[in-house]
Amino acid sequence: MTSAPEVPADAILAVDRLHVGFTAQRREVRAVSGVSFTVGRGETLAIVGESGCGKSTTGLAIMGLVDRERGTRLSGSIRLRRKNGEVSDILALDDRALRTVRGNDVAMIFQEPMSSLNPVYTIGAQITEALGQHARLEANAARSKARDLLAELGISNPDQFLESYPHQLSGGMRQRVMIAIALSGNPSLLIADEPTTALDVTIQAQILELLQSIQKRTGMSIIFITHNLGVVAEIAQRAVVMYAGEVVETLPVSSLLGKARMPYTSALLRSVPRLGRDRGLRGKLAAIPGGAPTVGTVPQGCAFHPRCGHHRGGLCDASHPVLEAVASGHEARCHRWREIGAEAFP
Amino acid sequence: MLTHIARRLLLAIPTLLALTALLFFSITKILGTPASMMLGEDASPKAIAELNARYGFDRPAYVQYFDWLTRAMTGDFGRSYTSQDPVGAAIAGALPVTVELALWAIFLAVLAATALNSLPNAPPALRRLVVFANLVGITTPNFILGICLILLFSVHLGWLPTTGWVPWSEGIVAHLRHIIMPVLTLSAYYFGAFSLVYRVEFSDVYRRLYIRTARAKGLSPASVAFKHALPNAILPVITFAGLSMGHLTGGAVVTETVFSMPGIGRLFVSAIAGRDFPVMLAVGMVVVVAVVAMNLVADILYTIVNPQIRLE
Amino acid sequence: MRLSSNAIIGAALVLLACTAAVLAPAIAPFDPTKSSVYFLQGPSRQHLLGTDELGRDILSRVIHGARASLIIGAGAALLAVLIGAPVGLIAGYLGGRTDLIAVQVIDLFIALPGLVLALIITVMVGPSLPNLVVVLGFVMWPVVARLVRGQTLAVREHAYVEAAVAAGGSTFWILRRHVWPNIARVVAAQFAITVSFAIITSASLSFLGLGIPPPTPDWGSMVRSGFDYLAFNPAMSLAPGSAIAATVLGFYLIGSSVE
Repeated sequence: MTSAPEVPADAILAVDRLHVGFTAQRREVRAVSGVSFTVGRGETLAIVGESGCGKSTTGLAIMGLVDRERGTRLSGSIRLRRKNGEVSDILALDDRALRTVRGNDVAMIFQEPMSSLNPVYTIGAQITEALGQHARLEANAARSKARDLLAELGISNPDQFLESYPHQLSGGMRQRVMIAIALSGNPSLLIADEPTTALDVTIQAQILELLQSIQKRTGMSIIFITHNLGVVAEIAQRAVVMYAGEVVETLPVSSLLGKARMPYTSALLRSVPRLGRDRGLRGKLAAIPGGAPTVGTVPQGCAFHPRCGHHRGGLCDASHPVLEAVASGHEARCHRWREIGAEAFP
Repeated sequence: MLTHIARRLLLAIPTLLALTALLFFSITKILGTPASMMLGEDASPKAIAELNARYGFDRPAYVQYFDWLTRAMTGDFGRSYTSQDPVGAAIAGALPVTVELALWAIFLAVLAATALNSLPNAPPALRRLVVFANLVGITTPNFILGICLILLFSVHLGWLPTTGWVPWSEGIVAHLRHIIMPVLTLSAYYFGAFSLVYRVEFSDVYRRLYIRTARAKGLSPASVAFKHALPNAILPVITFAGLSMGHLTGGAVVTETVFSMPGIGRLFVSAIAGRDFPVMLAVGMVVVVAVVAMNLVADILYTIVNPQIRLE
Repeated sequence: MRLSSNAIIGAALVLLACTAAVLAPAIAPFDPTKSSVYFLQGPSRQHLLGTDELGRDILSRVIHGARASLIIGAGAALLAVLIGAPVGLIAGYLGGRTDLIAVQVIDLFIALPGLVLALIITVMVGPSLPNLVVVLGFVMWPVVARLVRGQTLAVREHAYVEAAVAAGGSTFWILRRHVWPNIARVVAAQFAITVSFAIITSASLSFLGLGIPPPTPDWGSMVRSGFDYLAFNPAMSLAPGSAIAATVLGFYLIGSSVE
C-alpha cells in the first residue's frame, strides 16, 4: 500500500507521531507518545532510555508486532521504503502484508537469546526456515546458505552448529544465530533491541563489531535500542533519547559528549560508569534521583521535572514542553534549554 | 538417554512385583478361603480341608504367591472357579477387544483435543463450544454418556446397534457400527482432560519468546501455531496420556458393561460378582502390567521427543 | 472474592442437591421404597417421572437418592483431604528424603487404576455406606497429596517463609501460620473437585452392582435398573443420570472456578 512519499530520498524509515496506547484496568496508558524520527540508509540510529520509556514498544511497532487486540490503540504512521522501492505505512498494512515485511524488509533481534529459539528444533532447521520464508530455496541450497551465514558470523564449525539444539549453545552463540536468522532475508533495516544486555562484556564487544562489519558490507540500516550510552557512542551516528514514552532529544552522537541540551540526556551521560576518569567528580556514579515514571503515572507538565535539577516551579510542572530545534539535526524537549546551556561533559 | 530408559525399565520390575504381590495377597487372603465360598457356608470342616489340600490353599501364603506368579508368567492362569475353563484362554480372547477400545479412545481423544485446541485465530464461539464439550466430557459419568448415546442412536434413531460385538473378520462395517459408540463414550473424558492440559500449555507457550522470533520471521499464524507452538505444547499431553492409562482401565470396565462388549473389563466384573479368584487375579495382573508398561512407554516417548533430555 | 458465573451455577446446582438430600422426606411426593402395581408407567400428572419396575415413583427416588450420593461424596472427599493434605504439606515442606519417599508412594498409588482398585476392595469388604466412604477416600487421597505438595513447594520458596524460619519459628508453627493459609484456598477447591470425582466413582460402582444395597434409593443403581427398560421409560435411567451429572458438574464448577 503506497502513500504520499514522505520518506526523504536518502532515508529508509520515517516514523511520524507514533502513538501506542494500551488499556489496562479500564484506563488507557500511553506507552509511546507522539514519537517521530527518521532513519537514513546505511545509518545506525540509537534509541536510548531507561526501562519502560517505550523504546522496545517502538521497535515492535515498526515490525508490526504490537498486538492489536482488546484495547490497543495505534496511530500515526510508520513509513518504510521497501526493497522494491515502494513506500508502505506499517500501521496501515494487514497481517498478510505485514508478513511480507517481517524478516524481509525489516528484521529484529531481541534481548534474550536464551529463550528466543525454539527448543525442539535444531539451529539449522530454524535458520533454513527463515531463509525459506522469503526466498524460494531448495533444501541443499538453504543449508549451504545457512552454513555461509554462520561462517560470516564467526562460527568456526558451522556444520556441527547446524545440527545442535539451542540448549547446547552459550548466550553469545545463540545471539549470533538470532543475527543469522535476522539477516537471512537480506533486510534493509535491522532493529536490535538490547541485543547485548544479557551477555558478557567481552561477547558484547564481539557482537557489536559483528553488526558494524555487516553494516559496512551490506549497507543495512540499524536501529539500536539500548539503555547503555557507552554502547551508543561506539556504534551509532545519531541518537533519539526517550523518556516516559516521548522523544525528549534527538542529536548526532558527536554532540552527545558536551552538547546535550535536555537535562535528562546529560543526567544519563553522567550516570555512565567510566574507568580512569579524572578526579573532578571523585569517581562517584551520579545516579538520577527518583525513578522513571511507570506507564500511566506520568507527571504533569514536563515528564522529567520531578527528577530534574533545573526544574523551575510554575513552568516545568505546569506546561508540557515541545520539541524545539537547537541546531541542525538536533532537537530537544525542554522549556529551559537556552538558559541551562550545554553541560560540559568532563 | 539410554541410561535414562534403562533406569526406568529397572525400576519397573520391582514395581510390578510389588503390585502383583499386593494384588495376590489382598484378593486371596482378605476374601477368605475360596473353599468355603465354593462349597457353601455350611460345608463341613472336613470337606473344606479336603478342598484346601487339593487346591493347595493350605500352603503358606508366599509359596502360593510364588507358585501363582511363576505359572502366570508362562501363561497358565489356572481355571475359572465358575466355568472351569482355562483362564488364560478367556483372557486371550477378551484382551484384544479391550485393547482396541482403549487405543481408539485415546487416539480419538488426542486427535480431537489437539485439533480443536491448536487452531490459531479460532472464533470465540468455537472456543466456547470446545470448553463446554470438555466440561460435559469430564463431569458426565461415562455410563450415563453411553446410555444417552444408546438412547439417541439406537432406540430413537435406530442407526446403530445397542450392544454386542462383531469381530473384524466378520465385517468391517458391522464392526465399526458396534464400536463407535463405546469409543465415543470412553474417549469423552480424556478429550476434556487433554484439552484442559492443552489450554494451559498453549497459553504458556504463546508467551514464550521463540514465538515472537517466529512471528518476526514473517511466518503465518498457522505456521506459528503448528510448527512452533504445538510441538512444545504436545509434550506434556503425551506424558499425561500415558499416565491416564490406569484411569482408562476403570473407564473401560464401565463402558464394556454398558455396551456388553466381550472384553476383560466385563470379564472382571463378572468374576467379581462370582468371587472367581483365578479370573480376578489374572485380569488384575494384566491390568497392572499394562498400566506399568504404558507409564513406561509414555516416559520413554517423552525422553525421545524432548531434545533437551534426549541429548544428555 | 469475585464469584465467576461458573461458580454461581455450580453453587446453585450443589444447593439443589443438598436441598433434595436434606428435605427429601418433606418434598418427595411418594415413599421411595413403596412399590405398587403401577410399574413402568411413563410420566403422568401423578408420577412426574413415571414409575420403575417395582411401581415406585421415580421422582421421589431421585430426590431421596441425593442423600447417599452426597454423604458418600463429601465423606470420601473429606477423608481424602484429611489424609492427603497433611502428607502433601509435610512432604513438600520438609523436602529431602521424606519428600522423595512420599513422592514414590504417591506416584505408585496414582498410577493404580482407581476404579478397579475400588471394585476389588469393595467386593472384599462389602458395599455399605461407611465402607464406600473409606474405600473412595483411600483411592483419592494421593491426588490431593500431590496437589498440596506442589503448592507447598511453591509457597516454601517465598520470602515470608524464609523470614519466619529466620525468626526461629518451629516447623509446625510455620506450617500452620504461614504455609497453610496460602494453600487453604487451593485445598478447598481441590476438596470440591474431589467430591465431584467421588460421586462419579461411587455412581460407577453402583452401576456395576456394588452400590448401597436396596431398598435405599441410590442413583447409580437406579441407572442400572433403568438400563434394562430404556425403551419403555427412559426416565428411569435418565432422571437419576441427570441428577448425578448435575451434582457432579456443580461441585466441579465450584472447585475449578477458584483460581
